[in-house]
Amino acid sequence: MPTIVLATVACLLLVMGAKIGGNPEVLASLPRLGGKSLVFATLSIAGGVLLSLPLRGRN
Amino acid sequence: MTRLLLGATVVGGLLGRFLLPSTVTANLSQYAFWLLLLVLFGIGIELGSSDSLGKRLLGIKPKHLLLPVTSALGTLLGAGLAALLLGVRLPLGLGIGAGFGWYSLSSIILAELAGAEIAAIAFLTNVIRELISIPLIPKLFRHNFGPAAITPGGATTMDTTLAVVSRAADQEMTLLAFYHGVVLSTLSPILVTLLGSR
Repeated sequence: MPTIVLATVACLLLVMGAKIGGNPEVLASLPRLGGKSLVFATLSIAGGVLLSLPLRGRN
Repeated sequence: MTRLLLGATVVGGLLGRFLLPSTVTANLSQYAFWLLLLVLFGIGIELGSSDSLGKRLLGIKPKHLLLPVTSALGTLLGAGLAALLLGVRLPLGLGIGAGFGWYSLSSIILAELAGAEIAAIAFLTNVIRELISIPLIPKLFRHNFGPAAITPGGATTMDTTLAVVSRAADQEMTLLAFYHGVVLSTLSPILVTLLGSR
């Protein structure tokens, strides 16, 4: 990633972090959101792998 | 790079929690919008100048060129199922999945379009996806999953998880991983924006 883009992305993540940190409701629900995120991540990975398996072929 | 980005998020979280008054946090979206346009512009330039992509494609088996399609569709099916199970609105759930592991971009777009809670889920989902991918990709290659072993890395298979693929598999798979990452990195901001605004 070019440095200026990386720096801007870091700024934006700082802002996003501040939004989450400044929102008591979201902050309090982070443990619950973590559980949801794990389900999203696991099923997303599983879907991609399963649908791509037919490309394996014989050699 | 990962440390810098995760560090920025945590520092931002602490600032928002302990330092910034609510008058400032309420206006953050306005500043973020212009920064976001700048990021998308920079990413467009970066993807457009990936010069050797055409040459690299020649080293890939034609059938394997479909990999980004099956990978993206499978991811969206999985994310859609997760949204239904967890009671998240379907377009937003698909938008979270369409981050394809690119946690920084998907979460900052969704923070603007869909609010802090969905952004937090997108961030955590796509960080977790990258963390799972790093040990999972070599395992799947060892168990003969073939090209499917690349897919957990999503958009990151053109940079962070490309090294993981190149250590675990042959050169054709490494070329395929790069191509897979470029296509998903191009699709991701488009899909996340379309889905997040619905």
